[in-house]
Amino acid sequence: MAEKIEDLNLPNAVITRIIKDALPEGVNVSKEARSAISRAASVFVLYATSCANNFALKGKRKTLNGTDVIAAVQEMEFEQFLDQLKDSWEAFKKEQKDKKDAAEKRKKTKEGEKAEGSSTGQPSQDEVNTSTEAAGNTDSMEQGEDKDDDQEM
Amino acid sequence: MAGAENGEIVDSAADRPETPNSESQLSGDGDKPERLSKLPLTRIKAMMKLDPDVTLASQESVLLISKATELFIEALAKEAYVHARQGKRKTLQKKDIDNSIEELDSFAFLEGTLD
Repeated sequence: MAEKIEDLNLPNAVITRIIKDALPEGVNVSKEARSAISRAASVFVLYATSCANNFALKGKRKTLNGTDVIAAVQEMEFEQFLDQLKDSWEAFKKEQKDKKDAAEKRKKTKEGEKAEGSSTGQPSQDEVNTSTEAAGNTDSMEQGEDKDDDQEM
Repeated sequence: MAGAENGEIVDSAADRPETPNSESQLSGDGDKPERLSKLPLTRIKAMMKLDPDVTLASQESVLLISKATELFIEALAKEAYVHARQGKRKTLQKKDIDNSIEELDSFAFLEGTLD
């Protein structure tokens, strides 16, 4: 009950991008059609979640997992999605693994680099200098303000 | 004045590539041109949690629901375009969506939800 109605909406810009990418160039989408597709997408999320959750319940699991979603998509007769879904799932697993590996690597290098902790302070000082200089440079690009800069300096 | 300014420009140009922030930002943008999900996963997860029967949703289930939704949007738009073309139009209209839902069994779950 506490949920706001906008919780059910997906961002318009993203919906529009996905629709446009799916259609040939030069095809337009009326505002009513776009909002209908957006609402249909929200219904799809809720329906697919409910279907997937039924598979989790059948398996006596409390956590919804990937196979539940795959089974739900099959049951909903969207078999044509399965190949791409499995690709995304693989890519996701790989990303998780890469993140884990990178985290372990960082942990190891951190232990070896404890002495170099002070070096992180220096670049940030440089950054402050650079940003003030950059601001000065952009000012001097505008001819009118160039003279003002000189006077101040 | 001008000489001093020029000197500063050279300095800042030399400094910038060395700052860790600018470098990591650049490589971050270059490495991931395509994200796994076009739709926002936090929003998808919030919507999934609206289902009172859902206790826990794993990250992979959220990603797969998100990706399936993306494919669903594409499928619905393409089917609607078939109807628009039959009407010799280049603009998708609401009635094209309605006709798509009537025509395909897999879209039947949407009947009555878009009125």
